[in-house]
Amino acid sequence: MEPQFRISNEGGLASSLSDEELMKRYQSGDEAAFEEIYSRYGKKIYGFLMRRLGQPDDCAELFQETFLRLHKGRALYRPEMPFKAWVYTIANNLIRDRLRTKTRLGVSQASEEDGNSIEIPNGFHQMLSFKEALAKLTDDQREAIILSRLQGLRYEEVARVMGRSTEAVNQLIQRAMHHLRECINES
Amino acid sequence: MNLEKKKTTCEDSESLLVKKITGELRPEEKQSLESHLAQCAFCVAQEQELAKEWQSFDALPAPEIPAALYEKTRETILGHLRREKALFPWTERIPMKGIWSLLIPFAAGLAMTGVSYALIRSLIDLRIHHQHILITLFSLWGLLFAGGFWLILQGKRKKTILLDVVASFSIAITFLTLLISSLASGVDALRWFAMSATYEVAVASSYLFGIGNTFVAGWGIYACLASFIGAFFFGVRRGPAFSQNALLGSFLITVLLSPAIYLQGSSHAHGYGILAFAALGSFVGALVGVGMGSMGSFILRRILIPTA
Repeated sequence: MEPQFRISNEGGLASSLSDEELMKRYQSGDEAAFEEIYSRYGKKIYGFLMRRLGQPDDCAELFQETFLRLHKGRALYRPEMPFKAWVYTIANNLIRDRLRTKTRLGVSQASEEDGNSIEIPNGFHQMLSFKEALAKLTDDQREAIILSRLQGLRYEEVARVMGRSTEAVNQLIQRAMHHLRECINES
Repeated sequence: MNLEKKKTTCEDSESLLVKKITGELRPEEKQSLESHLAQCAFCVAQEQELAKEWQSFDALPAPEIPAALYEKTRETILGHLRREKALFPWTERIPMKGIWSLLIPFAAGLAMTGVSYALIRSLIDLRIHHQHILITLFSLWGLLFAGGFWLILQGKRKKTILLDVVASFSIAITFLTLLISSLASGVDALRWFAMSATYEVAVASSYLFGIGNTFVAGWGIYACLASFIGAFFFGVRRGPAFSQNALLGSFLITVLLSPAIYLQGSSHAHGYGILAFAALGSFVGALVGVGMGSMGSFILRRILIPTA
């Protein structure tokens, strides 16, 4: 069941504003602007964290950290930068740091992703395991396909988040799809 | 020959097919792809397969955020926002846009100067105790600079009220030191204004190290001042040219202090020796400013706020 979240936005004014306009208001301390931004991105960011990390404990921690960093760094935000790319970049950097730490500590990323976070979709029943197929992608490929396909970011936004060119993003997605198709055919 | 040509075209079209299903195909690419698909059954089949796989992702369940986590995070951020407002509740009523953002801290600084000067003068004989007062003011100045720099690193910017408060206090202390220097040294109005900075350096160093180390103290204080200003400029004027801003800040302070350096050099018993040392100190300060600006940029971008 969908959780019931409290959202107040001064008679709906905030909901008609763009992300960038909301951030400008949030920068000057407008609570309604924050609430609107949070309602737009809270669920999405959590979904992104879960798809990338898979561990609810890690995700809860990084979810809070993402919004704390957004809050603390809001004065540095410039409206020229698309807000969506900015907030995803914060979350993505945290994920990368966490994965790097886990790698350093010897925790296998594949074993992390064998968790229950990614369920087998109907369209992939022939696959031995969709989770395994995703786990076999390189980290960059997985990052690109999750951001583009599951989080709905445009190439330009994915490129900003990943620090790559749009052409490189397309190549990553192309290779990822190729790899997934190979897995389907093998199974 | 034809097979080779077709293979190359199919390889190209694979990339375009991915762009098509992701909705990123440009008009010219669309035309090229369509003309290829019109004559290549293999790629048409590829497109259908790719589209089917792409659609299959829709079946993936969207992870649900626990309501408790959602609410807790929301309350935490709102708590931060409310605390910031509660700290300075009157700030929202002050117009802090455009020229006001510069004038208000300055006016507040001048007001503080007047009150503080009247208070100090009524309590202390400045002709006797000016050294102690100046040393205290210098210490306060240093603390304010450190506080301002810390605020910048925390992501606060020019329009943040805390930085404005720091600026107001800095202005007040600057004018107070000028007034007290003037009263204590008894020089004429134009001269004391130019001399005050180096006079303070001399007072501070004689108090701390004795006359022999005036140069060292002058170096240190100029370097600190210039480097702070450099870092400050970098912090509040964030943009693509951080180092240039830091350099500009340090250069400005060097230029502003030049008359004081010159007058001190020409009037002081040490002659032009102190001029050379002070100028060198300013230059070193400018370099330190650039270094600190770069370091601040690194800390800001990579450690505190990686996405900034």
